[in-house]
Amino acid sequence: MPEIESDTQKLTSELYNINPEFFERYSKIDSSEKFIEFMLKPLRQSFRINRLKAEPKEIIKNLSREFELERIPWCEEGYFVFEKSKRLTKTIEHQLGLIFSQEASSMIPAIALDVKPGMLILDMAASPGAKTTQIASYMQNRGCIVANDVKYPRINILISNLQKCGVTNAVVTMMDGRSFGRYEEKFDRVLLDAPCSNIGMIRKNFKYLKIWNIREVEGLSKLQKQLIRAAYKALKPGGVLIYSTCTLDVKENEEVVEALLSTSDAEIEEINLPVKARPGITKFEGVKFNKEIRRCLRIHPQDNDTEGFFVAKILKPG
Amino acid sequence: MKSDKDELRNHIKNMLREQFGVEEIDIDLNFKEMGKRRIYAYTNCGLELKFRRVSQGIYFGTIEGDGLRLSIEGSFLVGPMAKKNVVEISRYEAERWMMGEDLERDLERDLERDNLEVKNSRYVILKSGSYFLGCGRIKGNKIINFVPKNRRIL
Repeated sequence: MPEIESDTQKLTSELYNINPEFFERYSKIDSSEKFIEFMLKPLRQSFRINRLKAEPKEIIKNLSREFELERIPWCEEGYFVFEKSKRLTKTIEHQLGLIFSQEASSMIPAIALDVKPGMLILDMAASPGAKTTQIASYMQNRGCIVANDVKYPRINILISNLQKCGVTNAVVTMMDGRSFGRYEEKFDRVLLDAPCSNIGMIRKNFKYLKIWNIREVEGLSKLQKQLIRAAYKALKPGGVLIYSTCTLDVKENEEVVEALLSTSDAEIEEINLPVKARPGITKFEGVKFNKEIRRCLRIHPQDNDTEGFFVAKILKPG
Repeated sequence: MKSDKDELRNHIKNMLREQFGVEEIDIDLNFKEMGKRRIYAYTNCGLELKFRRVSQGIYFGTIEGDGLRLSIEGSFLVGPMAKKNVVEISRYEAERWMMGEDLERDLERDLERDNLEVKNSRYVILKSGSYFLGCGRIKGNKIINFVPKNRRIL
């Protein structure tokens, strides 16, 4: 009698057929059935309340009439939303910029950055501005955010979102992030949400699975190492640098952090948030990394039913 | 000697006081004029580093021939301090407004309730609960809509 294929087996073979190279690579990172299952499951929608414009109480009261909401445990102003008959983007809260559609795990970097009003912040790869607007809300528009991106079309989206959220303390620049190294020890905080292979986004769009290839990952890893060194240079002693990606490849995450640790006095601090995560990988394909890398947050899709994400909190002694 | 920047700031502050009874803005805002009398607002963050800035601040409003017309964000920044010419609308009306529709109003009734001074200024801030929805212009018994297309509920 032929064996009955389980749903997960069917999904696995589906994933393999779309991109066998991806499947082989990621089976070294997470070979569990749950990983495949959640990679192929549609992403839960989520949003963050923009405290620059309103307090959560009234917004939650109004949205609860039309949507089922569930608070995100690690972000006070973040909610998962389950749409019924209406779409979130068709609400006045969305169009007025009182809420911002943002993936739940991507709310972590701005929280971990630990900003205070009055600080000088560099958001090195800021577009489309979800984290920039989150940072501005924590700063209550006081202090300064240099919100940078390298490509003009992306800058337009960034400016539009800063407008919608009422961010008055951002200066938008269009530079190659690597050139920020020349502003040595100037910023209290630096966020490097690095350009990456967007594997975490597969749950939003399968095109990221189709276009993935290891050559691109290698190229991105090289760029990310240059960016993280420039980001660290721009950071003041005693400051915090957050390195994050929405991908799970070791080459784009742990290997990048290792490149910084091995050439500087940088230290890794643990991120203590109520989020299910696994430690950073310290041994991969026969290569051993600094043990401190265990302190990084590695979030796989099945951990919290979010997109895959990686966050490292890096301190500059001083 | 006062700079152009100070002059513009004072001019905007005077207009806010006259039109909406705003005595003080609770954030240290600066203004700059760009394009056709379009006013942008930004926080003075004391950034001394030299960058090629693509943009700074947000669109705050436009100085029209008959007054200052605030953007949605401008109304959020000054709305909480406004003491006159703020029209309270229902959730239903707010949804119609965000669809780009003009609102029919019994202005005789609203004159006292919303402290309207339609003789001095024809621009009013629209408010629903604690939400501010930008400015409208009073014309007869209508409030004319200025919600830009990219912000409308379609």
